[in-house]
Amino acid sequence: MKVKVISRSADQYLRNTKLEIHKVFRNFDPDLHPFSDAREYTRALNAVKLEKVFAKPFLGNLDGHRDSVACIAKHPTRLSSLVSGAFDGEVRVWDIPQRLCVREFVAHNGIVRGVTYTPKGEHFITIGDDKTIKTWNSLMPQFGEEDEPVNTVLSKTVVTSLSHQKKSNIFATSGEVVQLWEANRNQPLKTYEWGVDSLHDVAFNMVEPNVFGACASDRSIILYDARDKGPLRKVIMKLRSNKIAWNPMEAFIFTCANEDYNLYTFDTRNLKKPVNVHMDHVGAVTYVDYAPTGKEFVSGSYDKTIRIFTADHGHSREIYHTKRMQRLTCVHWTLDNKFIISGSDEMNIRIWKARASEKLGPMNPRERNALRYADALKDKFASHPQIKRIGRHRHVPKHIYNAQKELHVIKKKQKRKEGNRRAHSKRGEVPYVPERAKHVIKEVH
Amino acid sequence: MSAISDFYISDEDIDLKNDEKVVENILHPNKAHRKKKTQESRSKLQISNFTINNHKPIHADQDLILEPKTKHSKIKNKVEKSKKKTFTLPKPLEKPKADRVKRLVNYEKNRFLFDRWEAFVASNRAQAHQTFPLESVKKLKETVKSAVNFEKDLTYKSKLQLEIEKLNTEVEEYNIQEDVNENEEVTLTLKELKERRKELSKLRAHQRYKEAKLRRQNKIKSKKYHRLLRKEKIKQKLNEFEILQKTNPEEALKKLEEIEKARVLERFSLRHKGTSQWAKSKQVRAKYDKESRQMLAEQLQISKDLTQKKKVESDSEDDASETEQSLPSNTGENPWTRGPKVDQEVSEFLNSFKKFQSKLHKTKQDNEDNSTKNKDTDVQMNESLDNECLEETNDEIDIKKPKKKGKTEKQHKILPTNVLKKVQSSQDDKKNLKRSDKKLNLINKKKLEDVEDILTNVENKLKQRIEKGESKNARKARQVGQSQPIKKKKVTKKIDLSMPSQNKKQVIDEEMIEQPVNSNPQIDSSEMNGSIDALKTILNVETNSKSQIKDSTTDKVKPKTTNLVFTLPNLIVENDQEEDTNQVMIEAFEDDDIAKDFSKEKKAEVENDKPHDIDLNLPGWGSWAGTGIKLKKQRKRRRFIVKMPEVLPRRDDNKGSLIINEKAAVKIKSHLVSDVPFPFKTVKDYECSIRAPIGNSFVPEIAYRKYIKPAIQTKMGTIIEPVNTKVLMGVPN
Repeated sequence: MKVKVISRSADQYLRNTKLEIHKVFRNFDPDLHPFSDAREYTRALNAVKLEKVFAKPFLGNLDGHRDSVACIAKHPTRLSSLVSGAFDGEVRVWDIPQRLCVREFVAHNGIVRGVTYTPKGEHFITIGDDKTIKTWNSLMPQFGEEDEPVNTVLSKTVVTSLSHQKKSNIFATSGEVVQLWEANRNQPLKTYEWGVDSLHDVAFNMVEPNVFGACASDRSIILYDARDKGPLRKVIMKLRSNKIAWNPMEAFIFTCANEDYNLYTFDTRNLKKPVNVHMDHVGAVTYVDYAPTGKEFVSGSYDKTIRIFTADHGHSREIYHTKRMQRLTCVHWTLDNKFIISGSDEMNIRIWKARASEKLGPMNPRERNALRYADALKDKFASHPQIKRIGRHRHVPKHIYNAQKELHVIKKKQKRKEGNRRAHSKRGEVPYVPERAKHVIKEVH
Repeated sequence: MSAISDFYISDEDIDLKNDEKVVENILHPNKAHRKKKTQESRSKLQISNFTINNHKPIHADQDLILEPKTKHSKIKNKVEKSKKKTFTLPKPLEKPKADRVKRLVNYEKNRFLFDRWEAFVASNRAQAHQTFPLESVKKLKETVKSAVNFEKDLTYKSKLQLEIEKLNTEVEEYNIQEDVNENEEVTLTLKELKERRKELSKLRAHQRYKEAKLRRQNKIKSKKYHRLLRKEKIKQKLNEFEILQKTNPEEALKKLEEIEKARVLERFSLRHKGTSQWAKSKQVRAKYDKESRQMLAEQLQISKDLTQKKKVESDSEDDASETEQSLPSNTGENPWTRGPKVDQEVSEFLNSFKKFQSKLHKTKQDNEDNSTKNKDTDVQMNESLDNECLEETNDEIDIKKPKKKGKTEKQHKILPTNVLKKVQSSQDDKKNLKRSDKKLNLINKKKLEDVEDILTNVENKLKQRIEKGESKNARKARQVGQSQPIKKKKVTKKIDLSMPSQNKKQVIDEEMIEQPVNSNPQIDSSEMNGSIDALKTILNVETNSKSQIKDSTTDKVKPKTTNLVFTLPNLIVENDQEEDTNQVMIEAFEDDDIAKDFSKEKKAEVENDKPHDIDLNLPGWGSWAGTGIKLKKQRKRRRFIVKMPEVLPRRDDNKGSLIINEKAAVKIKSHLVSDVPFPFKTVKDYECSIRAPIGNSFVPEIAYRKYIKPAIQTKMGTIIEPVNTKVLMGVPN
């Protein structure tokens, strides 16, 4: 009688080295995995719970300023360096990985209104309430030398904000008027006026370098062309915009942080109504900055929170807050798309992770794949109620919660009233106005 | 000369003029003052810099200067032209207006600048995976380069091939015939070309003629014409089918199956049943009008033919199945024995169809054998044929009472031998005659009977199909005619650059669920406080809204259910073994009274499901004697019993012994998706996306890697620069 014996070669199941992963033999026949989707669902549920476990976005703070932080500038070529200006006129240069202040000096009398690096990062320019525009060397002064500006320009008008063109030595300031400056000239190249008393923010487009936008006190956003063409167009909103940020990947898209708790994304070619309205803040939004990928942006608000929005979504995907963080004055997304840097009223600069539960640092491939698999599962089952609930649950400070509740009530009331009006008036008298059309008063040309 | 101009003329000039005047006056004292033509004085050439504006433009008077010579005509013309051209410049715009115009123009220019980015942005948005910093620039440039060098790099033979050729020179080469043809085409002479053109034009003319003809035919309204046309077509099709049967039996079989399907559809539909408006009108007229009677009969005949069940040859199997079918009716009302109720008609049809197919198969095999059939089958054939014929006759006789037919049929079934005679006697119509003849012949020709039988059926079905097809075509044509102008309008629309995103991800654009740190999200404090009152109010509301709820439940749309259909093989054995299992069941449960058990169980279930009144009395209330002593019924006690409202009737209320447990899925309910998430449009799509596993325990490694690729990848410690114009096509870098 022939006896059949199970035999297998050692090559199939033994490892060559101990570092090799054990070979696992699988039969991918779907008939043999009838519960595959149920198992994956369970994995997704676990993944989303673990995400919550690991969600610790706060990395550290840079403390040293003796007054509120007014402005921050990222170094264009180095990720580790940062300049910040404070309300007392002090400017500090930071080494982020070491969390150290490497340089500090008083640059202005009064508030430092704006800081920016030149495109190559050799100098940085500061403006202050003393109407001066000072250029500083990025290199540290030699031992014993004092911090002296390379160049000082006295502006005729007040300057409130500053933005540098992408790849040239031209920068723009705003104040009573918008002025264009060249690095080594003491007089502005051009001055633009368009019937506005004061402008509080200016920002160059990062893709089309000759276009820039400014926010004015008459609740308008004005677009300019830097090539001696002057202002292009103006859009007037219901409340004033505090900050404008251009999308670095989509030339014609910009987002503005508004006083009415919302952010608005506009298409430059059609300013009649915003492309998107981003809600969720419960205080005036003071600052907005795009991620270098152009897919997301971060906003800081007077309600003491930072929120992260996906660029094409109306609601935030993340909220950051700590007990000690006060009103946000500036928030930046670092150029490697990994971190968020925020400056606030209570003198600290904070560093956050851009994705709260992301693991930083190098990973071995298995780990990376496992995390990617978890992410993919979360995406796959995103609309399952439990996963949605766990993934989107956030703890917020009480004042935010209460303010939100109040806002809900207000909105509900408005809606109800509108509905009543509609019901009791002639048909078509009270039209349905989409949310996007509600906030723009008019486009001026 | 005006006074003003005089004013500016120098002293010297004035003197001269005065002198002249004086001299003239002296010379011609009597002559009236002759108007003297102005003469360009020398001093006029010295034009003052400050006083040009007050003058009218001075044109040289050619009458004076230029005499009418041909020589001067050119100059004259030129001067005239210059006269015409002169016009005053418009006033410049006011500054604000001018600024506005400037802004408008500049804005438009910038818009064009931005428009260049549209395609790039759209493609970026649609991409499923992106790595930053963008590599697209490099790639693009490379592709452009390779495109430029493409022709240079292109070789007929690869390097390997060349090497092989070097080694072994005897390599077979295949000449591609097409190349030769192409060369031939190139060498066409003028004559040939002309000929070819001629041919083509002929062809086109012919085509046009045909089109025109078709159009003309379509316009013909005559019903008779169309009927004839249809018949012709049917005939043609039949011929084709016959030919096909001879040449390619497999194809024919396929066609037959199609026809069979059409028949099934016909059986389900109400066509040719005499219910249409047309049929009704004919019915009314049928009493007096022979023609309409005939037409109606024809119509009904069609339906009869189409809906006729196939008589199956009586085998021993058939008998067995019949006995089996009759079995369950005899046994008691044991629910196991009943099994799922299948529509009698459907099942019969299916059976007959199967047998029909098998029969077909057999005939194909046995065609050459010419084996003689059993007598039984002959008798059956007879019967079936007779029935058909009879029905026809019946149709003619009593059109108005189609219901009676059944009865007559039954009667005749009992007496099959009489039928033939009857049929022969009732041959009024030519058609019938023909058919019956055919059928009689068939009986004689045993060998061919099966094939012919099929053919007769086929004829009807083909007719049916063709008619259907025609009507459909007509409808289509009409639709096309209507839709064409709309299409033309659409063409003018702007081209949309947007493309469907490559990743079908669920978009969840909702507010986060934000709770303060110390609150319990599940239980609200207000809910905790209100105990009895809250309950009572709820109860009251329920009782009040009971009627409403009832209404709502009836109106309720069934929720979308996600049916998890596993790909697991179905373990339930179908049809063939069903009857056996039934038999087994009957034997197994002969003694048990399962029905009773079920009803008992259901009763218990219903009882359990009813809401019970809540007794809020606490022990010891109203009893002074302590425990162990029977309490009297007290009015006060009743006050603390909360009565539950009547509940809605259960879903299985009048479903016999069926128990529907509606609470079974309560636990899982919180995990189920209630709506189809955004980019998906149907439940099916969404289910598909969910059902496809992505883990490496279910799919191969490579697929797994592909599935888990993140949407955005960045390199650690690398700065992501904003895009620049180098990305754009056609922009020099």
